[in-house]
Amino acid sequence: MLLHLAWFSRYTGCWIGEWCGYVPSPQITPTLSPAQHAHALQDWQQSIACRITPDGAPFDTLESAWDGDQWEECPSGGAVCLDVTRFGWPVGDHQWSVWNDAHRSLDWGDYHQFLQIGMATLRIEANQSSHRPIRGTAQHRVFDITGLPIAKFHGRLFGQFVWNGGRWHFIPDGTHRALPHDAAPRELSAGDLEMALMTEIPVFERLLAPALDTKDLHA
Amino acid sequence: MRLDPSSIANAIWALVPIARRSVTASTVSDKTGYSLTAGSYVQRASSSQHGQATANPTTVSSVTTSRAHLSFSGGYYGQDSAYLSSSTAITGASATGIGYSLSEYF
Repeated sequence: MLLHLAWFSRYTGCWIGEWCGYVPSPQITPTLSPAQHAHALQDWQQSIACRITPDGAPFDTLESAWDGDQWEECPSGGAVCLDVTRFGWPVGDHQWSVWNDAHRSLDWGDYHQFLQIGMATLRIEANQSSHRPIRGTAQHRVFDITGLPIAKFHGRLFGQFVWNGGRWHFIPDGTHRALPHDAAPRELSAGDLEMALMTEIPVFERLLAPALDTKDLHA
Repeated sequence: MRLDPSSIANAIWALVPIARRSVTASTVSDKTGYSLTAGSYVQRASSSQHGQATANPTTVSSVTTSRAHLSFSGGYYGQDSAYLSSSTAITGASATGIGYSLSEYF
């Protein structure tokens, strides 16, 4: 049977890793009471989980993702293994979720902010926020800008990336600035994107200045 | 304390994969303190994702069931007045629209 497991630290609540694959189905006595059945099922899952590590598993593995540092730092018995098969999310999508061991609850983490860039046009196509990773394609790449200084303008970042004079530039929509596009020697990387957008922060400040608080008008 | 035969059987079942360890030579880790099956822990009843997009295909997080609801909201982007206003459930991984909201319910 298909099983998707996710491990979290019982002490910090941080994500440790995920594994998805096929395991032997549990053989549980059907005459058990509901409480005994649940206990037996968890014992079975525990016996499966203990045999799965970042180094491998004796089962048919489809996909896995691990935070090596969190795994190494996890003490004996310091992790909880959750069955997340029911969500149907790709492996790795729980990486920003947070576990509360006292309440035995799993919650989504803070929203991350993304920009989607069309590789054919080099234009920002979308500003997105999600508490799950957004995966792009070769034609539409997605960059995570969470925590960057430009993130405060997220939701209104649209414009054109241009390779000119040996570096990437970003021309925000609404500036009516023209810049010839030289042939780019390499593809736009996350570092290129951050550098080009950071350069335009003064423009963003001017174009996207937040509206005045009404109490300021009455001061 | 008198032992329940069914609990003995379950304990033996739980030990079987470990007993096979000597045959498959698999590694057993002690990092997992306990495991919880679906329904044994609490999670938020819904998940959401939002976006502002130009009228181009937009990538959204993959969902593998039809329980997700994707809605669009009209907007004006300064270049043209085209906007979409529709809602649909999706099973794929892409959507087109201006403002969109993807919600999943568990």
